[in-house]
Amino acid sequence: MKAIDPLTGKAKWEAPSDIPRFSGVLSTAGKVVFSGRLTGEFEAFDADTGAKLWSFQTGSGIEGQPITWEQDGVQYVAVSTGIGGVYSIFSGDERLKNVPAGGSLWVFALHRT
Amino acid sequence: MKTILAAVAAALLSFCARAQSADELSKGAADKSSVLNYGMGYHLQRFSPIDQINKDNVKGLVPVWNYSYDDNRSEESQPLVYKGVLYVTTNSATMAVDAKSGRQFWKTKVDYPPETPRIVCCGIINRGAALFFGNGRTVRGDI
Repeated sequence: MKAIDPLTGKAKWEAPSDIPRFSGVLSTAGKVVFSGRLTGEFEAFDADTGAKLWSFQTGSGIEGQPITWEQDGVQYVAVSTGIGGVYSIFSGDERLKNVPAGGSLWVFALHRT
Repeated sequence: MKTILAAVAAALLSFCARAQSADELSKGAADKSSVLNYGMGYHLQRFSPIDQINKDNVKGLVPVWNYSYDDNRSEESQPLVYKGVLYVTTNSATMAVDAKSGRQFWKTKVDYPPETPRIVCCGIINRGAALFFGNGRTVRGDI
């Protein structure tokens, strides 16, 4: 995943993936970029540097597109997980052989004490 | 075969989300309570002006709920959010889920010809619903 300056076309940062990333990307005014991996991790990156800030294993491969909204003063982030698209079917990539199928929808928010 | 190809085309067209009114649609991500467009707005920037979760506190992000699709195919749908309800699709169903609790309001199954998996390339998927203004209908492609 690359952050590219649209005026120059130059990459500001790069967060390499050994396995192609099929998830969509969401960026927010909190300077956080969300995306998922085919191995199931839903991840948050620093929008300025590309440093990985957070990760959560969703149980299957992520090919969905993260969204965010606000409800009753709480920001929520949602993403679908569930492997089975073109790369996972046809690539024969051995690194995905232990990623289980099984679709579900995850919703996240900041922990409230 | 023609029917199946039409279904695939419809699935691809389901990228285009429609919502309850043109005014609401045009707000895109500026309407923080809704997600009505594919790509979070007509600009397709996938950007939200919400900043409660930021790079300093994102480590405190935790799951609120999980909703099973009861489905084993690729899940590439972008959920829509309108008035506290998430609308989401799989290849085999369209669902409305309470955004706060994850409880299912309804689930409508989709039937397609059983030979479809042998014909359609790249997995049977659906990439999301559209909300149709006027009477609150949910519209989606076949697969």
